[in-house]
Amino acid sequence: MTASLSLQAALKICGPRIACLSSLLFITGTLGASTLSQEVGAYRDNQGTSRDRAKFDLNYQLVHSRAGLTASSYNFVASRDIYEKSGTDDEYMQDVYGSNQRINDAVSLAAAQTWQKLTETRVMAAETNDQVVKSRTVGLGASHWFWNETLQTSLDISRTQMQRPVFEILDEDSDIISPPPRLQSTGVTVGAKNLATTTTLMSYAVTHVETNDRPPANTYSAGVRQFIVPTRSAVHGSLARAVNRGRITTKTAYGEVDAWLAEVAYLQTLWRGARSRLGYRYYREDETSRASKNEYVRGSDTYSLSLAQELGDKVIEVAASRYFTNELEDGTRIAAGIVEAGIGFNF
Amino acid sequence: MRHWRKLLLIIATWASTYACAHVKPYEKEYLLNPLMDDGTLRSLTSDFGAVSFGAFERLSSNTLGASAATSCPTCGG
Repeated sequence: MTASLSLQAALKICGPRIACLSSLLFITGTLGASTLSQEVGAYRDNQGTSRDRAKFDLNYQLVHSRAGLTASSYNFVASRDIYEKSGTDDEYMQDVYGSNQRINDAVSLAAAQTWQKLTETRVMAAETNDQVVKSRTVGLGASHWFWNETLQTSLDISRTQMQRPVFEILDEDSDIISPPPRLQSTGVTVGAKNLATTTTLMSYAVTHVETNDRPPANTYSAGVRQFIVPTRSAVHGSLARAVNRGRITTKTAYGEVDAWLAEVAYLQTLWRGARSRLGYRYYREDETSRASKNEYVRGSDTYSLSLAQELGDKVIEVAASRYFTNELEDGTRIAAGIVEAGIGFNF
Repeated sequence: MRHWRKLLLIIATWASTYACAHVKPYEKEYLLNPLMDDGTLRSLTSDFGAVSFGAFERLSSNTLGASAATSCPTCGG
């Protein structure tokens, strides 16, 4: 049933060629080794915006040593997103795309090598293209386990280049806001993960991102995963703080911002091969505008429920989310919903 | 960042990493449970929501979400 719906949605979003590829992958999926999955998703909000996605995800594992201590893995992801704004004409969409619809294609390729179980090195490359805005990212990273594999430290570096058309707007002080057509950003993340107790896993990360249109942004995050033995369930929590304040020029459309993000989730094994996740996410953003120094507060609440069922070498996934914002600067409140379905093969 | 916050961060980090010495390799049964595993989490969470909702959140897709969900600091929506 889910596979059929998934294929129908892929056919609608990507056309017959991709749907045929999808069918072929379903048939050949059980013949090789590793994981192949196909997902579809739909987003709708109360402002008439829709977004549909079809995504293919291929993970291939290659074990080099008999003990399985040295191995490499490859991950290829391809997705297509269709955005549409119905009802009123969107000025940006009309000016840049000449339509209320745009189609964004994305591909990414990542490779990771594990050395003697303890050390991992990884590289990745990604590209997105909607025929007007193009973005390319390359990244590399490494991590290592210490102390009987109880403390893992990691370092990741990535660089993104984006090309986009110039779209100028008039600010409150009559200055013209003109974002640069070439956006470049470089990011570094230093992270640590440790097994704090026999049932607790902690993680920490600090990220620094430099871009050519805004002040540097720093993010500090911490997370905890707690296994609850009597109920065979788990609680996951995370808290992050991002600060993007400094000198704001007319290269950027919004002012100084900082944000809090908190997330908590309860995970439970329901029956054999069935797992569920019930989550809540809180986001708060404080902005000081460039021209008038006005203070704005944006906030959102997200509720989500997902289920995954293993059936032999297959995994079926379904998920639903609801998203609500506070009143935004233009007086609107966003209420949005997402539904997703997917099927994966372990082969 | 104020000094007390730095101190708190150092103490919390030290306390949690100190406990590492007490988790032996044969005591990782619960930590290896699928509910604690990144692979399981990937099948129960999706970047579609983060990217879609990120359109209304200036820092979630560029930095906050990236650092929490992926190792690529500049991979946003």
